[in-house]
Formats: sequence, C-alpha cells, structure tokens
Amino acid sequence: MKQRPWLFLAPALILVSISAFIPLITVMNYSQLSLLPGSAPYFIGLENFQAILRDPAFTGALARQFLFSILVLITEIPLGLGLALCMPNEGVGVGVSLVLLGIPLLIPWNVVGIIWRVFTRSDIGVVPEVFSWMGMNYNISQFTADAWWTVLVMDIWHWTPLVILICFAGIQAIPQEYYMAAKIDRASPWKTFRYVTLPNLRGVLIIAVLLRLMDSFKIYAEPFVLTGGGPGSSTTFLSTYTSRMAIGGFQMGRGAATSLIYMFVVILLSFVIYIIMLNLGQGAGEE
Amino acid sequence: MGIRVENLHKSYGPDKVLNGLDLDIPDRSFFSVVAPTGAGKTTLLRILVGIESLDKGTVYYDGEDVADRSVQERSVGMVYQEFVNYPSLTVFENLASPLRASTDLSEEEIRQQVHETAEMLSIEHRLDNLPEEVSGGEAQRTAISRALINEPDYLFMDEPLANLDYKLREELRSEFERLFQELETTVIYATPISGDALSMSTHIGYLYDGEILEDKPKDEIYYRPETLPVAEYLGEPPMNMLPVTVVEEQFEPYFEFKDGTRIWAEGFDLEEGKTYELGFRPQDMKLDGEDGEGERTIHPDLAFVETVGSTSTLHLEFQGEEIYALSGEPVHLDTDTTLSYTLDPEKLYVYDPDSEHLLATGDKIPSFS
Repeated sequence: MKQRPWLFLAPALILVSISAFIPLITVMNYSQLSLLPGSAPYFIGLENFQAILRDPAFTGALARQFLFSILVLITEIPLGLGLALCMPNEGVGVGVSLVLLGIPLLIPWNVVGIIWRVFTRSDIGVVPEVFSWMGMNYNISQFTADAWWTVLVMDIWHWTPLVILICFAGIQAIPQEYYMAAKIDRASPWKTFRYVTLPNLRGVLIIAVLLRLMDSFKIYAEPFVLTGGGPGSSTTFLSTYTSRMAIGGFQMGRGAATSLIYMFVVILLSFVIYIIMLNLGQGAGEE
Repeated sequence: MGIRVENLHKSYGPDKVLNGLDLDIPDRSFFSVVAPTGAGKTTLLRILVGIESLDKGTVYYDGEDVADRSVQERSVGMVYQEFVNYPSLTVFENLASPLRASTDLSEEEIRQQVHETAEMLSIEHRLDNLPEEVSGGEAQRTAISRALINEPDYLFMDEPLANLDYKLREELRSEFERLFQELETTVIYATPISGDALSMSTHIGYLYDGEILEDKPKDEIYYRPETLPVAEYLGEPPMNMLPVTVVEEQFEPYFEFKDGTRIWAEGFDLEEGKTYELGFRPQDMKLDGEDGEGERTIHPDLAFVETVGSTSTLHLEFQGEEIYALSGEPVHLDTDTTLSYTLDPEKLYVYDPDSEHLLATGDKIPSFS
C-alpha cells in the first residue's frame, strides 16, 4: 500500500512531464546541437551558449528586460497597494470595483496589444492626437522613449489590477482587532499602516512581487503586437529575442540555449527577491 | 464612580444584540461579563471602550457621559482573544509603542517602564524577541502588558484566555487574580466560562437576551441567583434544575418529581398543586446519605463519571434529565447502576417556571440583603 500516493499523483505527474519535463529535456538537448535548416544536427557542446553571451543583441535585450521589470515593480506594487487601501471594504462598492478591476485581467495579452496599438496609431490613434494638441510629437514607431513608456503604461494598465486584488484580499484578512488595538494605543494613521498593515501584508506582497517579476520578465505578446520590438530593437525584450532566434532566425540550437539562460535568470532572480523580501521587515523596529 | 451604562441598544441590521441594557461596574472591581458565545459580550465591550458605535443609550465613565470622547481620549486598554501585537516589532517595542504614541517620556523612562511592566507579567526574558517567536501564553502576556503600560483606568479583556491551552489558562488565571488585586485598574472581563468568572472576579454580570439579567458581587450572584438562567449557568457544574409539583400529605408539603418520587419540602411555604423548578447544587448532594426524618432521597442512574485528579463529577440521569453530582474523592462505580442521593432541604432553591425568578430558598442559603 506504500505505492498508493504515487497512484494518486500519477495523473498530475504524467501531465507535468508531458507539458514541462519532456520539453525541458528536449530544449537541453537542442541547446548543445547545431540545428540549422538543411543540414544534419551535430553536437557542438557549449558553443551556442558562448555565442549568445557574446551577442550584443542578447545583452541588450537582457538589460532592457531588467530595466523594464524594475520599472514595472516599482510602479505597480506601490500603486496597487495604494489603490487597494482606497477600495471600499463593504457594500455594493466592493463587487463593482472587483468586477471593474477584473476586466483588464480578462483580456488576452495580444488583444491588449491590439487595443493599445489602435490607441497609438499615428493616423487614427487618440494618443498621438492628444499629444499634438499639446504641441508634442508622439510616434511609437519612431521615438524610443515614446515606445518605452507606452509599453510600460500598457503593462501598468493591464497588471496593476492583479496587484490590487492580491493586496485587497490580504488587507481583508487582517483581523480588525489589530486596528482597534492601534487605535487604543493612539497610533497615527502612518504608524498604523507601517506597523499593522504592512507587516501583515508581507506574505501577499511577496507573492505579488514574485508574480509580477516573473510575468513581466516573460512579457511577449503585448510589445510584440504593439511595437514589434522596435523602433530598432529598443523594445526587444528577452522573450522577443528568443523567439526571433529560434523561429525567425531558424537557429533552434541557439534559441534553446537562450531559453535555458532565460529560465536560469528568472529562477535566480525570483529566488533572490524572495530571500530579500522574507528578511525585509524582520527586526525593522530598531530605528 | 466606575462605569455605568443606561438603556443601551445595539442592532446589526435586523439582529438586536443589546436591548436596553443597564449595567453598573464599580470602581476598581474585577467585573466579569458572563454569557454563552454569541450573546453579545464582544459588542458590549467594544461599545464600552468606544471602538463600536451604539444605537441608543448612555455610557458613563466616573459619572461622566463619554459619548463625545473618542477611544484615544479615554483611559482604556484592551486585550483580545487573538494575540494582537505588532508583528514586525520586538516585544520591547510593542510595549513601548503606546508610551511613544501618547507620552513625552524620555528613552530612559520608557525603558524603565517597559522593564517594570514586563517583569510584572514575567516576559522580561522575551523583550528582544519578535511576537511570532514567543509562545502563545507569552504573546498574550505581551498584549496584556501593552494594554497595561499606560496605566489605564479601565482594562477590557475579551476572552483573553480562550486561545490558550488548559495549563496556561490556569496559570494566567491565578496570575490575573494576584495582579489585579495590586493594580488600581478596573477590569472588565468577558468570558463564557463560569469557572473563570467565579475564580477571578469580584463582581459578575450575566448577559442574557440583550440585557444584563443580574450584576452583583460574586458571592451574591453565586449563592443566590435570583433568576433561572443565571442559576443554570454559573457554577462548575451548574445547579441542577428539575420540575416538581408541590403536594401536601398530612399537612406536610412535599416536592413531587415526575416519576412520583417525593422529597420533603421542610420549611417551604408554597402553593399546593403548582409546578416549580427545583434547584440544588451538585456539591450539596450526599451519596448514600442518611434519610433522617422524612423523605429526602432521590434515585438517579449513573451515566458516566468524569474524574479529574482527586475529584469526580458524576453525570446522572434522573427522570430523563441530566443532572450532576460532585464527589471530593475519586469515584469508581459501574455505569448504569442506580444510586441514592440525599438532598439537604435547607440548600434547595425554588424558581417560578413562568417568571423565571427565585421564589424561595432553604434556610442555609444566605440572603445578602
């Protein structure tokens, strides 16, 4: 009867192995092969990795990826937390806000990209129009800065609701007694936030940060549809680079190697952030 | 002086929680609000502290209406069932926080005050720990210290021992008794456990149906509960209560139980043929006692025995109702045997089943008036 747990786990394990383990092992295999169309694959060891790490397009994409994720985190997390604190916590307002906040999350990524592309088209888009009223020139297919902040604002619009929902659930779970106690202690609103709300939200904030970090690191469809990675390669992120390498460039081996580096970076980064956040707020009283 | 409450009303939607409640909490007393779970103890405490609004009625602190005084302007502390401490602050900082927020004490004075209070509640060795690193008992001691450190006039405790295990509960219970005899704080303590109330309090109020049914000094409410619900709640185990009819035979009154068992109602002057609720405390029943003159014995069946250390609680079945008896020594008897218990007619309570009020007692029940 010792085998019974395995029996129950089997369906999940089989599914995960088909969807994750097997592809992963295949990718590991590919990453060490030369896979060019029209010629037989042969083993080249770590050559693919070396080539990628020396490729300025890769390091550029990696740097942009870091910058993008950092900007996403430092805007979406405080904004989401702040808005969650402003949410009504009882009555019909709760349901209405939750539904409204859910809408961006329900829209598929590529559709979000298309919506924003329509917004920003230089001929019919509303954004360039508004900018031209203010006497400014806006063109995402021409100006790097415009493309950048548009992708960023799009991501904030799309994903801040998720942070709000996570924080809102966390805030709802804090027992009212904590706030009563703080009130009786005559704690100021800021101190109440700092010493009651924030520490009690540590767990959900870790989740929100990790989710947003990993998701923003994997961003693909929206900028792909909106800017196509341009102008130039200014909004080419790691995912765009990888897919271009593998599919557009027909270099499956290099694409596979990029994927592995990519995965390693995401895991390492998540781990580091997790450890940092876990220790954050511990012993913060000694100021 | 103390806290006085007049005609307090509070509803949550259609639920009337408090319904014209009057209450008198004497200064420097340890006042227990006793009621089963869900009766509104927490609501009452929160209204008294000032963190919950009231629909109607007046709360007086030292004779002064406090309707316009926010909780920060009242000299109060509060301890909850949950162990409520600032999770990211050390025990020391937790204790210091009320002082930092509302006084201008120097760091040295704060340190001294924190150490004094921590010593009083025996958590000095935990001052550098975070709340999550200390045991449940210590976390609650921290919360109590935080509530006490400002030396409030009134300390409210809402089932503070409910989340602790048995041993810690006993330990804190005896410590509370000692602590609050020394301090000048008036304690208002909500609990559903009559044993807690009876061991620590100086006064007890029983909350029933949105009102305080009785509030009196502890001995008075225990030895002479004027109402049926109080009699049936206070005491561990509480008073046995059985319906009886008064019959007369050869000019002597008897209480007759449903099955025809009679006991002599010596010294009682009650209406013949009427039904009453007859109460007697579990400790006033004598196993295989002398019948003396007249009938005094009932014959319940033993359902089971609960023995804790050297005392036993016997769960008996008498006329389809469960009654309890206490024994000062461990009892080893087979279940389902029929026992014979002698009741002391001088320790009986007679209640009117309609008005639920005490009508008469035996001669040994003190009268207090």
